[in-house]
Amino acid sequence: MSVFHRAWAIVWKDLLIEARTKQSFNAMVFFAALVLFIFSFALGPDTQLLQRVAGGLLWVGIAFTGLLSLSRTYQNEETSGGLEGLRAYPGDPRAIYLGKLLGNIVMLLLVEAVLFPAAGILFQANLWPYAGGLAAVAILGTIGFSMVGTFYSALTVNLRAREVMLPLLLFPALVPVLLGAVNATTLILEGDLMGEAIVWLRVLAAFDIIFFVICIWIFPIALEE
Amino acid sequence: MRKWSVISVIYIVALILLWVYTGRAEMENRGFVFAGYALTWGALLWYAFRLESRGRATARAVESFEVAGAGD
Amino acid sequence: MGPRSAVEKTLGILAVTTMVVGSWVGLVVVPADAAQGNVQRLMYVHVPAAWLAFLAFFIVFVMSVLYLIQRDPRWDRVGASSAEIGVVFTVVTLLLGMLWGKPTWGVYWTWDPRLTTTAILLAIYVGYLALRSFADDEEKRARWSAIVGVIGFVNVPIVYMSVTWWRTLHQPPSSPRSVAPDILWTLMLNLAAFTLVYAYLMVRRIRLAKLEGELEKRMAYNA
Repeated sequence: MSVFHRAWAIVWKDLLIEARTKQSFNAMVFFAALVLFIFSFALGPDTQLLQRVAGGLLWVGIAFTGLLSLSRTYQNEETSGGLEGLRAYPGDPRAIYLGKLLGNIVMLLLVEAVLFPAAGILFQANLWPYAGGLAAVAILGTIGFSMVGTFYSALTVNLRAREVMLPLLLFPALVPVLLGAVNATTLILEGDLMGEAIVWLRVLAAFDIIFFVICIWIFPIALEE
Repeated sequence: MRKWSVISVIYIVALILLWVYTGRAEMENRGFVFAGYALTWGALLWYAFRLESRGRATARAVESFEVAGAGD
Repeated sequence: MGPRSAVEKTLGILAVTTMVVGSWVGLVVVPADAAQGNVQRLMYVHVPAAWLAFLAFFIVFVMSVLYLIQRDPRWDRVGASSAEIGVVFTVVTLLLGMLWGKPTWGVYWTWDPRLTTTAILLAIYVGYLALRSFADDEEKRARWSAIVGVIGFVNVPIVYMSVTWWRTLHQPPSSPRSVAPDILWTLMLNLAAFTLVYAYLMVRRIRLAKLEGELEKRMAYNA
């Protein structure tokens, strides 16, 4: 079996477990919606203000929800000892990373597919005209978020204080992704008159490529016995 | 430790001198200049002191194992 | 930690002497800046602190790469020592930046790219040190923190660029002023002083790291 077959096997296994049990997805969607709600309460019912900060609110929601799902990335291996369970998979450890990464991306994109329309309703904004641009931001941003996230959650999975350590390591590393995603989303929602959103999409793409190379290179070291 | 008490006194004297000097020179914003230098010296001295005391504590702990190890 | 070696003594004396001379020149000898007045004297400690913070984190990066290649615990000790001292210098840099910013810009904090990046840098290496404090196994701690040391440092230019774009899409960056020779040599003098302080603290911190490693070994042996 090639690396990709192995990766695919992990994705399939995890998504199948998720589809049968729906352990994470429902909780994630409700959590994300709650975050949007709480921010709307905190900022008051000023619709214009909410529309102006919608990009930021959306990505704060995605970041928190993503964090929740990242910390569960390796839960299917929990019973076999976390990292030890991962090491038990045969073959190249990169396949594990790729598989878990893809699983996280799919899950988070599914949540976003619910979250974006929900935000459109809550903030009374018509998102349809911008669907293409928003999808591009969502995909590039989610890939960047998940790449670093999947990596760092493997690093912290067996740590005493992983609930604290994962965000502490993850969020500083994700500054370019969050900046890029929030700014691109805001610009697109404003109609992107200056054509600036593409700059941020390039930032996201560059981040994705650089961290893909680094994470793939270092992951086997992180997983060593 | 005696050495660090002496250093603390020197540090406080330096702060007094700095305050008097910034006043004599009639520096505008003297509070900021004073705070900046006081902070820099203080932080570096404090860290050097922390290193010393951590070193002493660790050395004592290592020695206590030596004593315990000699018994058996 | 036992008596200081000749190198440590020399470094310590040199560090203190140059710091005293550097501060004296910066505060007393050099005339006040024409544009900013006396507040500009903060530059002589702020800029060297920032440079040393970056140097310290660069050394963490180099040691992390070396550790991942050679797996020699020595590199881990040097890297961890440099990270801790780097965090101290970064905190000093940020606080000095605020003290300098208030009288010149009117605010303690602004979302200037360098300021913001420095704050994020602090978060990255606080994470590095926190990770170390939570990992019990010596080899795993070294390997994991080396990974964070590599990823954290590679990320710095990307963070800096993205923060710069974030700001400059809205406001033009301030144009750099040419630096007067007086200011330049005072700055260099203080930079030398800070470098010696860093070197002294490093030597002491590495010695402490060795001792801590020894303690861990004995605790593991006796357990």
